[in-house]
Amino acid sequence: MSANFRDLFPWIEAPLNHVAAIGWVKHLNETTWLFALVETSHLVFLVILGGAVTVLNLRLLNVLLTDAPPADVEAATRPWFRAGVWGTVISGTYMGVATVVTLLPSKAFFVKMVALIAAILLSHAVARRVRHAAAPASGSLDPVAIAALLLWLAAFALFAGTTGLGAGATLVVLGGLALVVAAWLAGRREGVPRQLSPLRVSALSSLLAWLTVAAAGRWIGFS
Amino acid sequence: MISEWLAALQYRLGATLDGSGHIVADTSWSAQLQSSERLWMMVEGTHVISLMVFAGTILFVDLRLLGVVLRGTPVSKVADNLLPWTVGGFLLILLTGGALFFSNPLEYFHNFAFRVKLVLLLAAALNVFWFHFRVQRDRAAWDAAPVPPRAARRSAATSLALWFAVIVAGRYMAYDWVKCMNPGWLVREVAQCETYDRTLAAIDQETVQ
Repeated sequence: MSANFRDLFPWIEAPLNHVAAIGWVKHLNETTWLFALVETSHLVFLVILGGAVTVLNLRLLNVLLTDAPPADVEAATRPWFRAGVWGTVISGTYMGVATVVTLLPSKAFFVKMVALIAAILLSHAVARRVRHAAAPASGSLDPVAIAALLLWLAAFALFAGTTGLGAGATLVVLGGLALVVAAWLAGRREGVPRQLSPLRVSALSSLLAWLTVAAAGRWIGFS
Repeated sequence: MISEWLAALQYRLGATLDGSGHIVADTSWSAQLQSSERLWMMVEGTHVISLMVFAGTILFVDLRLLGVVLRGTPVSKVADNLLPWTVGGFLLILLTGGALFFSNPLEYFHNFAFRVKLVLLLAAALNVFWFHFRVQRDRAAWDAAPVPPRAARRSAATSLALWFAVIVAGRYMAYDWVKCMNPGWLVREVAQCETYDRTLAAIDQETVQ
């Protein structure tokens, strides 16, 4: 089981190659110091994004900052989350144009893109629930969260099922186990009830989806 | 001397020797770690993900100290809640970073960006101690303040600048221009490329050709 953009959407290869061949684009891509700067900024934005996602979702899982209202933590992390997403997407697009020939057939890149859409949708669903719902912890999962969860599961299944990418999926599983143990330990320490509310399911899924994005991104370089 | 010791670590430790006592290439533990696809990928992947948790949580503690986020939550609450994640991330970074260094210690030791990174790490560690033992001494007085005093803000800004500089230096370690491969004057001097070349030539003599 595997998928990549070149096989699924063969018509996108020609226009993307055309863009990569435009004089100034080619010049930008061949300017080594600039490419290094963009690659480094991609990592820096990833760290900012990682911090925002970790702090908000661990708060929603009652692992940390339990005295702070979830809405306050969401408001505090929101600008940094947005900066992280925009920064990684813009720098990633630049890097993508430069390496389009290797990215289109890359299975890890396909997993990353599917997981990225799922992660953004899950983060959006979590933030919306925290901001607007009268009782964020109760009620049922909204359709966006359900669709995003299914999309992440599909990305994870591809990650685990594609030859050569299995170790990346193992990393996601280990990260997930660490999160569940941390949530359980925090709950025991603070006496917080353990029920699996829709908000907590979304928060855990969001963390795992972003973990999948980061792991698949790293695996692009390996495959 | 450090170079020779690192060369022994990289090329001799665990290596197979032939009948005349020469090292059989790519048999040392360092070489095996680098060629062990699955383990190598797990180590590198874990390093990047731990970095996100480590530096990501530092970011939010420092932003609180700067009075930018979570102004209504005491500094002690934010710091104490995030610290276990920062420490956990740091331990994983140390473990995986140690393994990555072990895979190619001689080249890393003579890498310009690696040396810059070590200096920055030392400066960041000193800033942590400065904050812990000096700036934080009267924390009770400003713990709940939306914007902490100037000393705390200065320490937080220094921390952010240093940790992000560490990340940048770490990323730049991968580029050829900071390695002893056709180096410029600055890289050659700072990374002691002549010592690197000499050590590599000596180890070549000991390796089965």
